[in-house]
Amino acid sequence: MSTAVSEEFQQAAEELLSGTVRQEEIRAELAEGFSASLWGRVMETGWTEVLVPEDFGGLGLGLAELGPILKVAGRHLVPGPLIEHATVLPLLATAGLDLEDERLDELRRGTRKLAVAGLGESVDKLPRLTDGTLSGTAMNVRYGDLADDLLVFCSDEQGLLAALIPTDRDAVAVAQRRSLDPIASTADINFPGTAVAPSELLSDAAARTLGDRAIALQRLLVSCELSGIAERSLEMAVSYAKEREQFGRPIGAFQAVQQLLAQAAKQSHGIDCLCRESLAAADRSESSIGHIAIVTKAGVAAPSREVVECSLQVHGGIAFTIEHEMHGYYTHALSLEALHGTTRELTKELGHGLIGGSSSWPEW
Amino acid sequence: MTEAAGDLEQYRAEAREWLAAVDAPKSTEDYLEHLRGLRNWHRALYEGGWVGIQWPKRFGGQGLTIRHKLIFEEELGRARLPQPSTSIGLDVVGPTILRYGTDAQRERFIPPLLAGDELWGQGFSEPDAGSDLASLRTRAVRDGDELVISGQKIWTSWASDADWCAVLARTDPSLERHRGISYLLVEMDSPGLTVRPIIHMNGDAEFNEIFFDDVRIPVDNVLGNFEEGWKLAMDTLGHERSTFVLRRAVENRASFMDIVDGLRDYLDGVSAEADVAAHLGRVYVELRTMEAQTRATARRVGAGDVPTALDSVDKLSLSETEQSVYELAVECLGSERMVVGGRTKGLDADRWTPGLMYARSASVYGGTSQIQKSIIAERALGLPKGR
Repeated sequence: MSTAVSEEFQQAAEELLSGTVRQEEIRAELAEGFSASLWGRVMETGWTEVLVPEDFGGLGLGLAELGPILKVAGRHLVPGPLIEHATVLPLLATAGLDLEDERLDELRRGTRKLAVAGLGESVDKLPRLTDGTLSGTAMNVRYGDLADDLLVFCSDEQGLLAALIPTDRDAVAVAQRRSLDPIASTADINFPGTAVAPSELLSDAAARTLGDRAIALQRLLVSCELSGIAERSLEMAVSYAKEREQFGRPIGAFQAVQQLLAQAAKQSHGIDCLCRESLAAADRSESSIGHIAIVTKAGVAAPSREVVECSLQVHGGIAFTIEHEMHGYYTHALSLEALHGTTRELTKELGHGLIGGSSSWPEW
Repeated sequence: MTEAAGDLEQYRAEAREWLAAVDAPKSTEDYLEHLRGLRNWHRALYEGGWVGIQWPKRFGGQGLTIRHKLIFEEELGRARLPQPSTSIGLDVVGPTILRYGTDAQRERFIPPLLAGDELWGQGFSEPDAGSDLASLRTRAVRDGDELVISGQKIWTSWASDADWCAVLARTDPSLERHRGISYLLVEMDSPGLTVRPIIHMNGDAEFNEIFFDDVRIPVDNVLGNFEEGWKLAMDTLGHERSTFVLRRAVENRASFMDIVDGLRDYLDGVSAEADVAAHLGRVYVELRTMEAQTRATARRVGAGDVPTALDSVDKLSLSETEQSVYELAVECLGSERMVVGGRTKGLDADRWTPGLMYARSASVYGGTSQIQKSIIAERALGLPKGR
């Protein structure tokens, strides 16, 4: 891990995004939920290449470099399947799928967008592949409506599979669902007997390896995104508390308000430390990444939401309006908190693991 | 020995080996006997070269770094062995003497402090000066080469077993609040000094009152300059917070794993009640967050970046985490929690219930959580002075 490189990345991301999201045409696009111009700018940066091995034309760096970028994306509420691209493309590069260079290249440049369906689902709930055709429905696929390509986890009588198929194939029915998260759209995708070629499929072991790694990477990066949401929400709350006056003084001079903000600052510091240590640990120890990712997501999601809730409280009525940007932070935090396991599901899994595990503190 | 990864790992291996071979202090119900046992334990650790790890060699330390110290703390926690005697001297008073003392004071006080021959207490709080410490009223009046101390201190930890005590007293009553305070080093068997233990609800007599009835000390026992005591004390509290947090976080991890071990036989992995599993997982995640925070703190302390408002963040997090660990155990104990000798689900009430009572004081001692939050609000967030 190189601290210098990761700080440089973070700073560059902050400079790019803080300027870009304020541009008028991008703001107008963002009001509709997705900005193709912003997405294009983000994809030009090469952030989704960070984890791609050098042999495959990527940067060959680690999570310690990628994570801080996602934190900045969280600070500025950047919509689009950035996490999907940044985690799945490096894995596809080495998974052994026979992809045309052009398609892979378009995915990397973001001119084709990728969504992932069924990641982490139990096998019996996944769409089913029989005699080369896929049937069933993948529910609530993040950015499924925007995607040009879909990595769909599915099953046959042998077990788990993963298929990479274009969404414009005949007999793929994408039904957008309305989302309360203003920057993450969602869709149900139905496969009423969709043809899948053997070259598009990863079989059991390969699909499982890719799935386990992808979900761990996504949990870690979602945590980073949440850490940015928390940090930015706290900043907004603190600056509002210094400006807004009641009873003849700034509300930030009242201990009742100070105690709320100090608790949020404590949480934000813990969130940051956990993300930073976990990213470094996951880079060091590939075999522990699954456990590290669960701990991180479980440790970051709820406190992040609580920091945003504190910010809502400190802002008073204004932050609940659709015009104020705070509402975007809250709704997106609610949505990320449930992605790849709620806090309750994850802590339960950790508890069972501890009871079934060894007597010593699990080192990583 | 350097901080290179290989050297640190070797240091860890040496510590582990030494701790595996040493005679652990026997546990006892009698509090004073328990303290005596800890004193012997301190001497054993010192002779083994495990006290004053990051302290200068010329005063009896090992001349290593905070990272070595942290490794030893981790191994000590892992071996479920206690700290050397009481921590006030090593964590609080000692670093202050080292930083602000004259050469003569350092040579006089540091070696016996490290060796465990002289134990220290800290007399800061008074009956009417708790969170508002600067309003303290204990006075020290100059009389030739001596100072005459009169007043009362309270909540002084381990004073009944201490040989020396660091005392904040007002030496210039004409100056307001924190400006008139000096930092004094007082011998506990001085004539006119009496200690009265205060029994904690968990049965321990850790806290004490100290009464000063014209106690005389030489002016040489003023640490730093006259009326500079407040600065020294605040600096000390910062040190106390950061080093205390590093150690306590390790101990909390060890306690948590003891709970997991206890529960393991009662619940097997598959049939564990979902809510117990989720509760375990929740506390585990809190401890992991604290662990990540302490790594950042160790780097901060290593770089000399103390005290800062982040010490308050750590203190606040630590007390919450510590309470969570003991609450978990007591929750699992159910109604057996209040029975002396009670045991259920692999957990002993005698350990965890008094432990919870003690843990409740974590958010009060060394500056309450509310005071920590005020510090964070003003110094880390830059909010106006609160009211």
